[in-house]
Amino acid sequence: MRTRARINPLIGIFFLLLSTLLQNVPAFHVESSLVHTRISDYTASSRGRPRLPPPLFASPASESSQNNEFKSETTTANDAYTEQRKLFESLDSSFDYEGRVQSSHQGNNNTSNNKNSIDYNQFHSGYVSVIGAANMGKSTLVNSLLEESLCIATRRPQTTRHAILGILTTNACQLCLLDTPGIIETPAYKLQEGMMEAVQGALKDADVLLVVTDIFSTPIPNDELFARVQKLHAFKPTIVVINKTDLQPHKVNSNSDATDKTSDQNSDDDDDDDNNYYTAAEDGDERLEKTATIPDAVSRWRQYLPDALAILPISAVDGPTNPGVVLLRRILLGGPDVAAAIRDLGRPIPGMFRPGVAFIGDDEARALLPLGPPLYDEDMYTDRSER
Amino acid sequence: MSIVEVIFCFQSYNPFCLFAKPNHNPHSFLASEMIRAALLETFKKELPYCCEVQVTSFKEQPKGSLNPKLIKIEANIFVERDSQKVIVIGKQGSKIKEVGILARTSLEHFFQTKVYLALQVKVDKDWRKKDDKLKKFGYLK
Repeated sequence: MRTRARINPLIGIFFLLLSTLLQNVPAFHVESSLVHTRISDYTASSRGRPRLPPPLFASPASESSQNNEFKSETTTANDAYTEQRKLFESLDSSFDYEGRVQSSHQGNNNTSNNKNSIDYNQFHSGYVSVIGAANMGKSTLVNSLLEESLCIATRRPQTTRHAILGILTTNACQLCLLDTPGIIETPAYKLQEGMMEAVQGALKDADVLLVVTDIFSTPIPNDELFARVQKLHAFKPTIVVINKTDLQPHKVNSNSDATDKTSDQNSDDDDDDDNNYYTAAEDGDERLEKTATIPDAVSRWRQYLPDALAILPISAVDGPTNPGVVLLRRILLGGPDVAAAIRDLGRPIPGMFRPGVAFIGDDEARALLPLGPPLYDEDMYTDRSER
Repeated sequence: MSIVEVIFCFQSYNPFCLFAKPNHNPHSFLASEMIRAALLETFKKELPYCCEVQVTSFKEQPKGSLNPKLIKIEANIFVERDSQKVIVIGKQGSKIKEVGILARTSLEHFFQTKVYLALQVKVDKDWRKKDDKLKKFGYLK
């Protein structure tokens, strides 16, 4: 450890000098890929969020093309943005946390490098933490939001062990979806304690909370974490997802169908007695006493989290085309046309949005993520040269 | 952004980093997750929960080679007990073969190339309860 501490600053300074000299050397480009998994950074967040560089080395060609689209959009909606900016400055305490890269800082830092790149003052980016009890379909939801089978999703509970980051970048915002391990009541061994720490870290990092539950209103089993979510949701935008709506007509304990995996890893050689070992044995009958219809589940969660921005019924197994998934993606990305997606979802359910609010507008949706430069390389989503 | 923060950035994200962890490459992490998914699919009850997968090498073939599109992956599957090792391997390796086929097809689908996958089962006694092992696998800090 001592040698590490001694060597690292030297290496860091060396690369710093190198970077100023060799900015255009391709080998020095920050390694970009579809996924950035930062296991060690999320399991315990003692150091907090890793400080990421702004995309200093983004390729100029892609920048210019993105820039053009950007300019045209920003000039039309400039007034709305200035209003939002004011709003955000009044809210600075809620979005300020350790390691948060401030947009103004970035602007000053990058003047030499990114003069003709995206106007970072108009860019939204942030972390969306997906949390919920085990086997609620968090990974499936993240996969269908990303339209990519990135997180492994099987029909067994506790499949996800690490917090996994998936990135969705558009020309107006960057969405960092943080899939977390399922919350369990009492960690039985050290591994599960580590997994719960990953959840805690994700809660800390979140700009937007995405609480996933199922149609049976399975609550977050850990009281401490649930209390923390209830406390957080008052000042962090929170969206509750009622997953597994496809189970509604059956009213039977057919969890095995609901948590079915998406696309490629699919192989149906599993047997049912195996699947029910963990799910049914624990709470099979008990769960049936809970809510069984979407309106019941919505009102239940409205009681739990009265300030939740929206409570959306979703069937994540249906993939990216499910109306609920489409709506959620549009809300998180800030449009386009959130209202139309809400209409597509069908008849409004009482309690879906906050009392007195009938729907979410594009501007409100866009304001969910804090203003700031992209946290990761913009090419990360589109860079598929290895695929 | 202070100079210290800049140093931190470069340390964790530069390609020449001397202290890179074995799982740091996102692709090899993804590969280990896919192998774990295959384990969850193949085995019943608690067995897959006792397994941990670590990718030891993830190599894309150099451009000039005979089969430029092949990715060679070597991975270790760690189980908690000696008895579990036998179950994971199966009679004459039948189970590990199943796991390998499942994992390989999903890897091939994801990377859109041919994949060579070598799996090895190892015993790491009670790794789920030991701090140092969990740190090694990245669950604790």
